[in-house]
Amino acid sequence: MGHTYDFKSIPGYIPKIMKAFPVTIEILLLSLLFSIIIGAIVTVGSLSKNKVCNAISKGYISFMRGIPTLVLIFLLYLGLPQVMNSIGVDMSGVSKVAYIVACLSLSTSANMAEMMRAAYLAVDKGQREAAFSVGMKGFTAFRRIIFPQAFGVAIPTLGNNIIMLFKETSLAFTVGVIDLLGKARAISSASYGTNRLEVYIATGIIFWIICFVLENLSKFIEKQYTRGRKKATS
Amino acid sequence: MANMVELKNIHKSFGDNHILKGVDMSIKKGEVVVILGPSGSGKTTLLRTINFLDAADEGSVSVHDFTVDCKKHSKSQVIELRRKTAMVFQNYNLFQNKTILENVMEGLVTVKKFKKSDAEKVSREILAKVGLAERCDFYPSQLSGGQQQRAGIARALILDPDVILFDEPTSALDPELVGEVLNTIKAVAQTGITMIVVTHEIAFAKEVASRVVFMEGGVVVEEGKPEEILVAPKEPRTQQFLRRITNPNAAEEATA
Ligand SMILES: Nc1ncnc2c1ncn2[C@@H]1O[C@H](COP(=O)(O)OP(=O)(O)O)[C@@H](O)[C@H]1O
Ligand SMILES: [Mg+2]
Repeated sequence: MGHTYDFKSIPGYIPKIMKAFPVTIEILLLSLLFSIIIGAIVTVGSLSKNKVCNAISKGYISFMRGIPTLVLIFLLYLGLPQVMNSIGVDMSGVSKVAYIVACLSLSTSANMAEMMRAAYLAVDKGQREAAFSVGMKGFTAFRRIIFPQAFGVAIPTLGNNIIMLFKETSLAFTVGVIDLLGKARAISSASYGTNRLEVYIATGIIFWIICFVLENLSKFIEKQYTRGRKKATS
Repeated sequence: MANMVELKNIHKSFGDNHILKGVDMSIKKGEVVVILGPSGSGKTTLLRTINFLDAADEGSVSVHDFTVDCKKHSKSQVIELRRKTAMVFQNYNLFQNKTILENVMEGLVTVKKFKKSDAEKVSREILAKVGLAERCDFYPSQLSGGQQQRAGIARALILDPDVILFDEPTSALDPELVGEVLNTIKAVAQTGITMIVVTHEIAFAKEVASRVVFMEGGVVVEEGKPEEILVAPKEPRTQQFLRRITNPNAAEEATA
């Protein structure tokens, strides 16, 4: 097609795309916060002896893990305002970022719940019994003995979930949010797509570098956190 | 005060399995009661009903004049009862996220509300007594089984409980480590604290027990002074059990 690719221009696009980084980070952090809160509530339900709570939690997890995030975004962003409109609630004031945060929080919360449940169950039940045997109350035992151990178990999965969430923030462009990918698209359309490849390569590099950093950070934190605890020496 | 520990008509089932079938026991202050019995006879379950790690279905538990009805008990009663007891577990169950020192301090800080510095001071002292002065800052997984169990004993002792429950404290240990733990327990027994010890160590029982209880099938079959029960038991079931554990070869021949 007569295009000439100018790969040397790629590094130059990186700072331009990074101007949208604060938006991506905002989406990431808010979604992370809410997904952990929702995930914790769902975990309590899935571990409870109450059959109804249990069924609701398990159903929620299975639904949220099964539905593609993009489908969830279309459902909430396009479908929800219509439904709300029909019952007289106007949702035009809700920002696009809010929709994205809601969708990412919901879909990630299922992974968070699975992570928390597995980590909780991984802690030997003798640990709680020992805490009880010295006279601790249930909450104290959880806060001082169970949670810190479960957290150590969860760190690698948590790191993974954050990386997946970070990649999914790129779906924000589908509703017109100017996040990293939205910005890349804007730069590319401003020059009628002639530099498309270079811009998207630059975008890929940004995502890859950040994931690389997150992955190693998670490994480092796990190592620090569980230092000394697993080594079997005499 | 009549008795330090009093169990009345303890019954416990797991599903359809009736495990404890009416156990009564009265233990005076300073007594060291050794419980013997074949595997599966309900010894662990009995200890766990005393501190309500498993609540019995029927009966009552008293420790130092504080009585809890097993059928209807409140959370706060259970907490209070647990604070009068301490337990040493077969698998040590040291807090894996804490150092040996922190393990011992934990109960003092969270339950007895000691200041951290005070808790640390007395914890170091007690760890020195069980021979772990140099291991205070190690995590449990960095220690041998014998060291872990001695830390477990220190964690129980520091709370100054009315009774310490030992559930087969040496049965998970390599044979060469059993001695150091038994010696620690003997030293504890000499302090005059009330103890209930489930063990298969007959020589140890002879030496430290003020009373030996033989359990089988969820009931107390026979009890008495160690020289009675261990040397000249009346019940055939007790005789059989003792023959089996003091002379494993004879047992093999008998079952072969
Ligand atoms: N949590 C439990 N659920 C079901 N059965 C149990 C439980 N705990 C113990 N048991 C059963 O109770 C019986 C007595 O166990 P235990 O008290 O551990 O005996 P011992 O300590 O004398 O070997 C065993 O048959 C065991 O399988
Ligand atoms: Mg047992």
